[in-house]
Amino acid sequence: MYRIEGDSMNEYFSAWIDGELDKETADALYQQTQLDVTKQQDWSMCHLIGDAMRDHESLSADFMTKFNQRLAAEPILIAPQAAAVLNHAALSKRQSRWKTYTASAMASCAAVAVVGWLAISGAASTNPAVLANKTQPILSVAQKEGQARLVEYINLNQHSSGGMGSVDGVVQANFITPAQEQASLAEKTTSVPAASAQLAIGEQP
Amino acid sequence: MIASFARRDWTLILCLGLCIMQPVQAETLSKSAAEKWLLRVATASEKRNYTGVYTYQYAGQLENYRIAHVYDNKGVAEKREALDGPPKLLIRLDDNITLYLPDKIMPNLTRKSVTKLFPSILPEKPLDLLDNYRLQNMGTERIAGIEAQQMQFIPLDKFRHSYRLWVDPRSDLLVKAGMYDAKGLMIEQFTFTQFSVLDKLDRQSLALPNVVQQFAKTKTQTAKAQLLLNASDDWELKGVPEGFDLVSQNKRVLKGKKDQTVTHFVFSDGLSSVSVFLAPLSEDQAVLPRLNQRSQTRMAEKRAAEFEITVIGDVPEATVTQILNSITPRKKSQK
Repeated sequence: MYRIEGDSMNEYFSAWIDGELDKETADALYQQTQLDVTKQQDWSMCHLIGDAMRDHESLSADFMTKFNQRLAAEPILIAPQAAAVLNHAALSKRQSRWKTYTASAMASCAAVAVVGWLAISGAASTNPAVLANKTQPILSVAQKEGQARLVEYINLNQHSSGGMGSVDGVVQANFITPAQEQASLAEKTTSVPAASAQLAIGEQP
Repeated sequence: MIASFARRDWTLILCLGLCIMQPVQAETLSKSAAEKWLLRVATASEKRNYTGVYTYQYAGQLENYRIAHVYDNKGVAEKREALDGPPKLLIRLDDNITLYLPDKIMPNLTRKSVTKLFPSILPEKPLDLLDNYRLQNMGTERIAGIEAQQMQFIPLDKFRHSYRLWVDPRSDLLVKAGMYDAKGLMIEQFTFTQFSVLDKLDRQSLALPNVVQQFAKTKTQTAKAQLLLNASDDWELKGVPEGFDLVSQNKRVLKGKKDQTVTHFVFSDGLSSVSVFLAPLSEDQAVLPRLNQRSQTRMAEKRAAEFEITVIGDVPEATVTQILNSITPRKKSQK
């Protein structure tokens, strides 16, 4: 039985999620996580990142704010750490090769998550309607149905003229439902600093 | 003395400047010059053999496609494939065009309705375009390693966007084409990143049966519509913007709702196209959301005679509105 400590913890978490760990290491990691609340939080954070990339429903609206705070608190990695940290006998060759590809699993995890989040929330959009969308993420069945029909119409319009592309999630953020329209009008009159709020997503505070 | 010298100097510089600017200055083509240019470019994209890779920019997305175009004694054979993302394929054998997508196959696309077959984006009868656009020579620009000639298509009314076409002066092949709104913002753009014009290209080299094979399990979901919009007992079509002809009509089954079949009409002026969808109203028919103004796609809709009519296109607002207004249910006074 051995202990996994410090920065390597997050790397092990990422490896665990990816199914890269052998049973012995995974068991050790599981037992340590059971004993430590901070590590449990780390573990759920790693899963949330995965969920963000799959547009999972469990993602709360303020996920990005929390995530930014966590990202700011992460130490800045000047040079990739040597594989020595992970040089445990239990690691197979395959795992150590995987290790060299990921300078810091947490950092790469983070970069991908930001990109994924931007794609979901409408890349670099300063549109109040898109932001308003976040405050009321749940669409009724009828709204979803209307939106799906409109997406099909737009795609059919593209394809009938020989276009091969399809609108995806990014473009879907461009739809306005009547409720969002009212919300966006309300935002305009109360002049919420929408643009600066959106900027925070791409940049460290 | 010095002052007068300086003034003459200044005039000289101005004259010189004007001389240098001359070739770059936009110049509207005469009708005969425009006709010659259109025919040359339309012919080159059909009757040359070429291969290449181009990017397609649309709605904030960028996609890469590979194209191979054969022209031999049998006619045109063309294959274009998406290079990234899910497999997408468009096969053209003369006027028989089929689009293969991961979730559907759309056969029998009419040549008239298909306006996005870069570099063959000019219609079959290119001269008709001069009824609705004038051509302006914009000088040259470097595209895909060559000095391409740039031509702007300026619409003569408010019902269409402007286009810019860049042409390889050696082969007359289109190397870049784009649609731009009144503010000059790009709506869509095709650009060759690499292309080769060849003397001969073997039809067999396209390996069409092999590439089609990967879509063997995909559903073909279209049927020719029986309903004729402009000659039906139920609908009257009056006041469609000049140049927009009804070029195709098909029945489409919508993905989400199994039973909902809509009739899809396409209007085109040769460069721009607009779709009209006729959906029978059900009791719990969901209201369509509105499109954001930031999106370049425009839509208009209304409910009439137990149908929901939706007009969608990458055209100015006025066009979708007018097409929507041009469709009215016939009054059935006899019944």
